[in-house]
Amino acid sequence: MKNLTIITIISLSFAQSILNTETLANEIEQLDNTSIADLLDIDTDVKANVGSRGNSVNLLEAKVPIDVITAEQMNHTGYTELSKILQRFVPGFNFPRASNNDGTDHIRPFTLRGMASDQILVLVNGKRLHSSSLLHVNGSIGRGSIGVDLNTIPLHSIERVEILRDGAAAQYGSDAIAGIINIILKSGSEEKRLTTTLGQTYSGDGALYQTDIHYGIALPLDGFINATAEFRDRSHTNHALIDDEQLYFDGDLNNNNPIHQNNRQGDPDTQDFLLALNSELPLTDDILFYLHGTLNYRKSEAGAFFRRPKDNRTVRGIYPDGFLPIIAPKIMDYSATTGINGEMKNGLTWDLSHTIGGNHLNYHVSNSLNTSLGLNSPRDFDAGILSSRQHITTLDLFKKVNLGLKEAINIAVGFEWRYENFATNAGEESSYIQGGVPILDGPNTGDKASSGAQGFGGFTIENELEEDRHNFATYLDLETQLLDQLSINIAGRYEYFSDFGSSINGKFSLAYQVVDTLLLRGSVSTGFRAPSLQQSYFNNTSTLRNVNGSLDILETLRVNSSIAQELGATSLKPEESQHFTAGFVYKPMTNLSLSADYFYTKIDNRIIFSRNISSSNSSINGDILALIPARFFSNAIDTQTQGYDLRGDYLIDFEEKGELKLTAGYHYSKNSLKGAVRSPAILGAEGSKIFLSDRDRERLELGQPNDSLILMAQYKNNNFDGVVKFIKAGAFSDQQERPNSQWLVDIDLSYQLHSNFNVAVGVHNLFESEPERNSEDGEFPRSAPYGYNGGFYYCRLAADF
Amino acid sequence: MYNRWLVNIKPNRPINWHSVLLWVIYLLVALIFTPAYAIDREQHKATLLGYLPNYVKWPEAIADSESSSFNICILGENTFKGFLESLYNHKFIKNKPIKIYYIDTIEDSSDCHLLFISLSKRKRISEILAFIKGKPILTISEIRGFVDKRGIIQFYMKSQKVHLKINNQAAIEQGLKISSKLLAITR
Repeated sequence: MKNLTIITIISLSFAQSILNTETLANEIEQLDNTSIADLLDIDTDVKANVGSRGNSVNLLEAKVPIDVITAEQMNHTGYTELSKILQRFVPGFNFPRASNNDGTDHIRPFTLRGMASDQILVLVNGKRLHSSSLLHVNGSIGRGSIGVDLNTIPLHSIERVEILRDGAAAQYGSDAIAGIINIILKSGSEEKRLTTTLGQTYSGDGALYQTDIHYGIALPLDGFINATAEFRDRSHTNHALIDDEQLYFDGDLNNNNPIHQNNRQGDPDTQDFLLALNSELPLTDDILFYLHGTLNYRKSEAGAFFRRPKDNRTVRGIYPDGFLPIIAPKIMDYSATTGINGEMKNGLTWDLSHTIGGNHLNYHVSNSLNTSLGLNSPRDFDAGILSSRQHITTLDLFKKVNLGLKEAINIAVGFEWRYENFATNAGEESSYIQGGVPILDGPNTGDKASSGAQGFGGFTIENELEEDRHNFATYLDLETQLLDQLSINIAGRYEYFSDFGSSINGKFSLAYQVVDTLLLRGSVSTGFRAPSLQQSYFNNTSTLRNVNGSLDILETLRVNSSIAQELGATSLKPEESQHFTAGFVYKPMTNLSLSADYFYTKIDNRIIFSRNISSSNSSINGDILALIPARFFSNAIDTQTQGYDLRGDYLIDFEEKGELKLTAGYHYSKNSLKGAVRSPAILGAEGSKIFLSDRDRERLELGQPNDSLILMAQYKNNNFDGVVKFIKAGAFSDQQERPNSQWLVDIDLSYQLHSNFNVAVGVHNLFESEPERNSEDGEFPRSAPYGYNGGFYYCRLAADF
Repeated sequence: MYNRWLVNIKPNRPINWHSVLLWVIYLLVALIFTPAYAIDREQHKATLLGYLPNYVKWPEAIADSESSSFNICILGENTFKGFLESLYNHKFIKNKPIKIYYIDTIEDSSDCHLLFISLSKRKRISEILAFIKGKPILTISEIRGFVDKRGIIQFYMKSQKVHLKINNQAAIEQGLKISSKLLAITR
């Protein structure tokens, strides 16, 4: 391995030249003795497009902290989902494995710095990616939010992922509060690769089969079109406890039968088909046409709660031994961007694009029944559809203008128009109706039976809706080198939304090169997040399990419904944020860099989802909520998040014996409520607890690890590549308990069998670290950041052709 | 109620000295070795500019001429910051001292042995290449489609590496001969 020697030589020669030494000839002579192949095999610095409207920026010179995860790094993880990979690389990125949470089991939310997934803007090749249609309404991390489903993008279509850890709504618009994730798709036509991964958990479940193909075709003038197709099949895992409750009616001899693991707690069964396409075609010397997009079709199956034989919801003539309803949505997610860009004679560059995106979630329920239909009930149901769409047209203009400053000033101006649509369609009638058949047997014979499909009651005709809005935005972004050591960036953005009005935000950031080895950087900005259409309009009926095991029906109200209005609901306003970050990058040697950044984010009017409001609340007129409890959204709280990030990277040269890369990252953040909870007066003194219950506050402030540490070592030589990761997930709280922090170890070992074939084996969570079980019910905490599947081993084959 | 819960919850753990120790050991181990860091992209390209002429043969009349220097010309915006001067002051290529020239127009390129055409000139690239057609000038650029337009060597980035595309026919037409070793690598 001569690469590192060459890098050192180049670095040294440059450093010495600064000192005006006369010894450079020696280094150049040494270079002359190296092969051109070695020289071309050198890794140059990592750059990112996000955060600056001008040229791409070196991470160590950026005004705000940015992480980049490359395709090579992602390839050596054994993970097949982007969210899990980001969790393994980015301290402070959390991707808990929700279970028994209806739709959330199938489109799991992620968080960054403890903030929700809809407070993180996701881009693909710099263009906004749509959110999923699913609103997380149950008791998971991310409750009350929607977000992008990162797992809809095939991994092998990705060149790199850039993560900007700062508020940037003044540059990019709504949602960029916790940060921005910019996914850069592979460009070029050179790569043609087939990859297959097989694996399963130590306990034998969760079997994974994944295969993908990436293929590129060259077009004239360095144009290209490449496509990635992937199929992923993962079977479910189950860590539910044995059900030791009485299952049958009193006196039934079946109660003496062996007890079983009746519920499911773990990953769902999923089959995913994914497709990505990226292409660029130069039309003239000045004009480039581009097109990129992704498509994901997912079939997923997860368990609801088991209905015991003695349960009033069980029709014993159909399921004499009870039944486990299976929620089995079919999810289609798509996005496509097409555009042209070019440069005018005066140096003005322009980019005109249009993006479409959508998510279509069709709920199905199987192995279920509608109790109120009695023995004639179907067992499988189409329970309705959630769908969301967006259209975005953008025009971005950029020019370098010389105003007599140290360097030309980069001026970027842009315009954006966005249309969003959200719709709910009712399921088939049998999935939601009250059929009129009473409970047929048992001690409650003749009582009114439950309506709708068990496990997931279908959306009703009354739930049906279609809402939309449009949004116009314009921005101005200025960036320049003010002095030799000082560069600044000033940005402002105006947005108008048809449903709530306008928002103006600004950002000022700077970088000051104190000496060659030390860069100070900082930023202040404001931001906002528009309430999603789902938060404003979604309404539904769902089944929730109480602590004592009983099941409750809940109504989710849209804020403009008459009942919600009577309960004091008001139209949702945007969340407004203020940000401050400051830090430094220290490079005492050309071969060493360390960075530390403090951050503070305050969010006003944060939108949260209430607890259940019922007629039992003393201050509420029982006529408003005659039968069932209800809940809705409100801008009820203000929060603040503060913490810091530490980073460090090394590359150690063993000459001909290979190289060792060491990476370390640490994140600490603390989320907390600021001020009092605002609740409608009609709810009286109980209002604050209805909008932020003790459990909600626990989830907000303590439900995710305050800190995380990732240590990674990668050794590679000509044929071998091995990666070991040590990951520490900090402690978190779940249902009044605080499981200890966890250490996990991942290993990936790959070997180049032939110039075209690579084989790899690996293990996730080598020592089967598991979160502590809840002392009350003995179950794993459902918000465990790394789940509870235990160890997982796999093998991977890759062939280039 | 919330406060009561907090009592039940273990308070934030004190500093985990095992973690701190691991950090310290980790950094010390890293410092003991002689590490190297990914090199600046423009610095690396600047290095390649001085390195590639070793694989190119100029016509004898040029190589043996009385010309007192090997002239590297940068046409358009200089993106190399100070790297070229830092690397090539007092250096030699083909036994001639290296001189760096920054030019604004292609008409000033007559004495150039190596011409790097900056991205800022991409709109005029066809005109530039037509102007120097047949002249023994090694043209290098990272302008998209450069070699398709009869440029000789094109830089392009793939992952973090600089890759080369070479149009050998264009080199021959310019009177230059590129070594088979370089051609083999870029195939």
